[in-house]
Amino acid sequence: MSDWFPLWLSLRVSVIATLLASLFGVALAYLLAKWQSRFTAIVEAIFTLPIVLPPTVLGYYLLTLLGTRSTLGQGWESIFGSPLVFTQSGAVVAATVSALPFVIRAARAAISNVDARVEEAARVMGLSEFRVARVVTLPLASRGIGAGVALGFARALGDFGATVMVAGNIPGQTQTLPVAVYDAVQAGDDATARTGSLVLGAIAVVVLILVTQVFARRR
Amino acid sequence: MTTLGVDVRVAVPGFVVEASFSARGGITALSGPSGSGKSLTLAAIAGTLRPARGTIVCGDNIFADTTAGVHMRSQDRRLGMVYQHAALLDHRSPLDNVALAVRQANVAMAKETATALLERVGLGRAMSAKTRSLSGGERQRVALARALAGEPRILLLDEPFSSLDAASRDSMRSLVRSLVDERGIIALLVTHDAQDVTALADHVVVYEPGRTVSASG
Repeated sequence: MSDWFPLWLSLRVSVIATLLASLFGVALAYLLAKWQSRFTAIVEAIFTLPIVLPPTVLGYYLLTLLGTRSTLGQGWESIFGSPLVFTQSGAVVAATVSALPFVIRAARAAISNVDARVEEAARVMGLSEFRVARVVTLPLASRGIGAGVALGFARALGDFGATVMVAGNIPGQTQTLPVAVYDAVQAGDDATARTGSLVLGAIAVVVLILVTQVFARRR
Repeated sequence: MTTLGVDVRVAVPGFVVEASFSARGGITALSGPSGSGKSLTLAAIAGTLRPARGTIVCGDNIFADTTAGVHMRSQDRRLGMVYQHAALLDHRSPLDNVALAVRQANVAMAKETATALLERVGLGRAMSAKTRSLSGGERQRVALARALAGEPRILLLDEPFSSLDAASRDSMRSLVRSLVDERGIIALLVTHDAQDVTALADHVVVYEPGRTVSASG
């Protein structure tokens, strides 16, 4: 494979998307774990949709929500001066939304599993709710959160359908590695398709081994 | 001297306890069979459970008054609590566990206070050990040091000796005795062990399932 741009773009997009999904996902997971109400089930269902929807359908929703004719899309354009869709930022949005449910589900389970008595003890000894979260809950849930973040990264790196809908397939601009593999197959360029697939497969295997190791070390 | 006045009904699904007693300085044992509602009373005093009705008053501070709709946050009640199973932060050192409970924004000073407390409970050498690797007796000593770190008005002890072997139990009992006397604070000791009552209690509140029946001392 002579052109490594798709790999670097994929890595850059996935790293930024994983950071965004982690920040937002862990905060939302914390709220979902601590404040049970009938709305939590609805919120959780909405944020789980990216796992079960066909990626192209997810991409279509995002395109409708963020396209140049939508309120959000026009708002983005008025702030940043250019549209969100069919750009690298669009690819980041697609990858973030794809990664989000993995972070939320793992983080929520891990946060719910933290021993409530230890959190209670911290409150009784005077720690504010914010410090209880920072010093007690999140450190104790960190392995589960880490596993969710790793899976989210793998998902962001491998996204095809949502990315191609929202960011398009512009070589040298928005063409990520999974999209480049599809293009290469279409063009009969077996060497590029093979190399790209091997690289993506290798990264996925490394991430899965990491996740398994993290869970194996749990007591 | 500060007095703690408790007159509450505490309810959880399937169980209700009516508790009425007052406690002054020294050790007041809440004694009775398992499941009589002693720990629930303690949770209401700690503020981790809202009473269904009644009042909890400590000196001039109203911890809870259901008629007036008052429920002071646990954080503001200035309490120390020791649980049956220590409830320590295993991912932090014993020193950190205690220092976090010191009500002092300056980290260096908080650590100094924590160091002195850990030395006082006989754990000077284990300050930076892995908390997870401490013995049951050592964990309870860390929990006791942590409970005292915030200079509490009331020390709540929820079956603190029941998971210890005989030797640790004896030394932990005498440690609690001397620390409560040194500080002149109110200590409430939940126990179903008559030996704890004999060895430590200055006053006794007796529980039957679901209610307090008498207070003595």
